[in-house]
Amino acid sequence: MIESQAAPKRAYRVYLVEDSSILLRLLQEMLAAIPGTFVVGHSDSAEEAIAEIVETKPDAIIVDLLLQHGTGYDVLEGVAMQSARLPLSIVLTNFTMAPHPGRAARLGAAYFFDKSSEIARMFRVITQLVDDHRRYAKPNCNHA
Amino acid sequence: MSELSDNTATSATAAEVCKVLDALAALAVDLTCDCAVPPDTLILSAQKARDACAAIEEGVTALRNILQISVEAGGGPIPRRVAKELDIDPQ
Repeated sequence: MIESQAAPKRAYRVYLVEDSSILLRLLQEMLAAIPGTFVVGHSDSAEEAIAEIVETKPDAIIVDLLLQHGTGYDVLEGVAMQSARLPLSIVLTNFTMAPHPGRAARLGAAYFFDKSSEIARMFRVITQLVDDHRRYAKPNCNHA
Repeated sequence: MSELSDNTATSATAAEVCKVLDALAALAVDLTCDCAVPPDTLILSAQKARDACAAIEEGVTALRNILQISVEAGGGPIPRRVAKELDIDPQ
């Protein structure tokens, strides 16, 4: 589902791929607490997520591996094939054993976090990414 | 993506186990408290308490589903004591 509100200028735009409604709510709350961050949309389905990521061109995507429909791998592959502007990919999953971290990295994931123990660490990384974005983003950056 | 999802009872169980883990992860975040906060300080808002309850409820529902999957896969009836604990029909 794409957020109907337009993102503020120079906001760090994030798309969430997560099928747990409770975790989705939590991620949205935590992202809202990072100044300069805007959630452009979310989905629990790989197919819908790919289409919406291609359309909204976020700066980053946070992807769960096991989804209601499809997998996070489908999303990483689909976005890599269809999107002209690749977002930074962050995997957040319960599947932390091999082969998942390596496979996610091969599909372009820049970060891989364990849901059960690394959510706080992931948000520290995102805060840093948002700071960098704010510092280096072009003033007239337009995602349209 | 067979290592993540197929049509077996094990895969269905794994999906429910992930729901339990997701609920526990959310609960852990909702109940996070900085070590520096004095032990007698009240910190949980009503909304956080509601969110924590919702996470627990979601985890319990997933546990019930796991038992149902086991029954449907021919694993036998649910032990009465467990059925009573989880408020479900032992079948």
